[in-house]
Amino acid sequence: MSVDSKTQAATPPGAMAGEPRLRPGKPIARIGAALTAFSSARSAAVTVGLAGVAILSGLFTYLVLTQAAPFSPEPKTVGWLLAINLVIAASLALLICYQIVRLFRARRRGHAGAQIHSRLVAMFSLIAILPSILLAGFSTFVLDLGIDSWFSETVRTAVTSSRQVAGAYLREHQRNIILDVTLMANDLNKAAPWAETDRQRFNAYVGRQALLRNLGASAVLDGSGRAYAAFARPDTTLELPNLSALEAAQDGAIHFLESEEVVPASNPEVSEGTAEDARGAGEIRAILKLEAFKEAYLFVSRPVQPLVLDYHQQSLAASEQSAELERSRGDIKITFLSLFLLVALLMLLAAIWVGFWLADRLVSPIARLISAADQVSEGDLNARVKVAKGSGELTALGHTFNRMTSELSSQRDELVEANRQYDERRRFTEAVLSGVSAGVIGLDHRGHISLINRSAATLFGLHSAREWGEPLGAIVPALAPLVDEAIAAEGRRQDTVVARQIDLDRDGTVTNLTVRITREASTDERRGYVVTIDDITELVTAQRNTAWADVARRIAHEIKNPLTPIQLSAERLRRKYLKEIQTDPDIFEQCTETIIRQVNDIGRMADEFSSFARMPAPVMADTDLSDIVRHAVFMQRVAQPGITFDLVLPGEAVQSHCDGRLVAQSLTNLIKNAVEAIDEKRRIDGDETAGTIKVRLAASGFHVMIEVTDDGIGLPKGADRQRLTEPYMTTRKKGTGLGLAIVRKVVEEHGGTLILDDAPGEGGGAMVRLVFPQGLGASKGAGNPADGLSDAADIDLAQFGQSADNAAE
Amino acid sequence: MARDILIIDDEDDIRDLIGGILQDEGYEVRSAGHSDAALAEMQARRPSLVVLDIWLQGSRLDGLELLDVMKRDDPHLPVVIISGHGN
Repeated sequence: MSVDSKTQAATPPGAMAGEPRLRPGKPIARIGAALTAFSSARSAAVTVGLAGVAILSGLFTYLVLTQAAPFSPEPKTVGWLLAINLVIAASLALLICYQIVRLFRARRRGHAGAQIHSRLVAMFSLIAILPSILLAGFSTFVLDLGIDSWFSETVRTAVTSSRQVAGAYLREHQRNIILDVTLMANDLNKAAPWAETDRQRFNAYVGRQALLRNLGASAVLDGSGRAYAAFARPDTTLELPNLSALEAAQDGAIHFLESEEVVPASNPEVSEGTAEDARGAGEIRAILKLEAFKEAYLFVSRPVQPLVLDYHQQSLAASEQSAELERSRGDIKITFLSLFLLVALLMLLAAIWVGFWLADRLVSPIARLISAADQVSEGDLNARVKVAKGSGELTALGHTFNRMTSELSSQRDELVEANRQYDERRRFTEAVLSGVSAGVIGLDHRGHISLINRSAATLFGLHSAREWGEPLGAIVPALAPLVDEAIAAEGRRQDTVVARQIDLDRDGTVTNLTVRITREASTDERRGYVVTIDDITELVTAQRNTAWADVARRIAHEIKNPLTPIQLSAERLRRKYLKEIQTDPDIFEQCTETIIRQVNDIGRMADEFSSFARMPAPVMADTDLSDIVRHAVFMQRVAQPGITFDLVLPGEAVQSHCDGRLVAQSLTNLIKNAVEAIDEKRRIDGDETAGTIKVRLAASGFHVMIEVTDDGIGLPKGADRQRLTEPYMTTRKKGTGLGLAIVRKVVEEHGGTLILDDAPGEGGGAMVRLVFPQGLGASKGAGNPADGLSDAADIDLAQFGQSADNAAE
Repeated sequence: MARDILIIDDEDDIRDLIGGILQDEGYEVRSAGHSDAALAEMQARRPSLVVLDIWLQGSRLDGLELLDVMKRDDPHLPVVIISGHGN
């Protein structure tokens, strides 16, 4: 996978790894990108190719200029070569500059590997440049020396000397010739008188003279250049001077002839000679006007060693050349230098270009690595380095890096997973804590609250957020001694430091709690505590009830035993002796009757005790509560003529899933209680009480309510009111005190609640309500009494409406 | 016809009272306080009716067991079971 998704698809070695795409808007950038892209496509080939071309071109130029190549160094060719070289150099230079700019920019932007890259490039360039410069300098110096050596004194001396020697030789010859010419002229002047008349003799004379003086050729010319007399050695071609030479000799001095002042002799009177073309053959020629003649010129020629003349000419030429070179020494130097520098430059650029490429190749894996490392440091553990094939150290490094990051990645995943599991477990624990019915309070080592679960908060009326950090003993004083004891028990080994049962008194309600404080299982020095609180009020109550029930049952059992004999005895007495009583037999009868009746009462009471203790489970069925209420009220109306019964029923039937018999019994108990309360009141205020019992049935939403209001003596205030529903609690003189307990048990088994209130208004009396779920549809069944209680307690009684003659409740 | 009723109950008062009432009505009454005495009486003379307390505490056989034994000996023996408890 590519390291940086923003790089171009094919990460070129020529480009910086990790460099973002250039903005397409900039034209230079586009060209550069194109160049780089092009160069990157076959980077190796192009790089080497370009460098190779440069080198070859330089070499070729050199060869051409030193005339070792097939082409001759004509200016045009040289011009072309220079142009090509310049173009190559320029393009190389351009590319290199571009790369340098990019490198600089990348370095400024802090791209991965840019620093190394630029350093490498600088290093390579330095390595390429320094020796080149040194070499160039050295070579320049050597070249300079070399060129200078051309113009050294020795050479100059040699050239000069050779010229001088040749010159001297020629001058020597000239002197000889001068001598000969002068002497010969003398002689010929002497022969002037007879020269014109005896031409033949004169010719032979000239010949003799020439031979005598060892001349190559000789001639006497007249004014028009024709030869009057001539002589030439057999191996010499006679060349006569032309008119300009004659003119030059007019002054009477000896004039030496140049080669262009002779013409080959067309005079057939040449003595002997071959017609060889010997133009420029080594001869010295001179001409002298003969004084004694009217107009005659003496021409002589003596051969010179051709070699010497060659040498002479060569040395002359060399001298010329030398002088010219000397003149253009500076130019030569510059030319050579330029050439050399150009070639050197080409080499240098090629080297730098190759250096760039090498640097790229070296740096890109490093840059990739750096980029990947950056990614990893920013948290992306999925970064992997693209590793080239091969077995180099960098490749190995890349593999190691990838292994490392995948190791890190998997470890982090494991860690994340472990964390997630830990979180889950913690959440589960929290859920358990919040859902568990026991109160759990976490304390630190000082006894300050660190954690309260929902049950504990409800139990003690705490707000878990506010109490955080407070000492538990301050918030719940009842627990203070236990906390102190737990802290004091620091040294003991066992984990459960305190386990006790306490009674919590809140607003008159007594709650029984078991409190257990354990020390945290931790290796810390300062360990905290965990306080577990169980509300065992109901348990205690149930225990009490059970205990009572047991007692009741036993007592009932025991009581009923003697009842039989008593009743039997009384009945026997009545049967046997009533007819025999003479005095006041009705008293006898009354007494026995009383005995029997009371025994029956006792028996019934005992039965009640027994039946409360073993009250059967309700049998639920869909019942019409209106019927039940109507029936119960009817029965009581009949039984209690002195009391007015007010019955309020809703218009339609009220269906409920309940045990009709138990509900009826409960209602009957409530009405009986109301009756007794009215009786009690009447006893006190002398029958002034009107004696009204109102029974109301209402249904709303999911609940039904049966309400019994009386104007009797009312319910006791305070804590006693709550205890009314406990078994055997009665404020009346007679009665078992089980009535309300039975009602409460029944309503609880229906998932409802029993509410005791004062009757509204000023009349006193009590209002007792049974509220329980209708139980139709989904929520059928007795339900959990505890749930029913809490649910019912939240019920807004207002939903059941108000009685017409009630004041606000 | 012999109108001989055997009353088996562990309580003296009950035995006396029931026996008294039945005697007033003109029956002959025997009584036994526990199963052994009851069985002895049964052996001695078969009663016409047995009144048996279902509990019969303090006796080797309780009421029901005694009933089984008596019914084994004489399946047609009429037995009235009494209980002081009514439920």
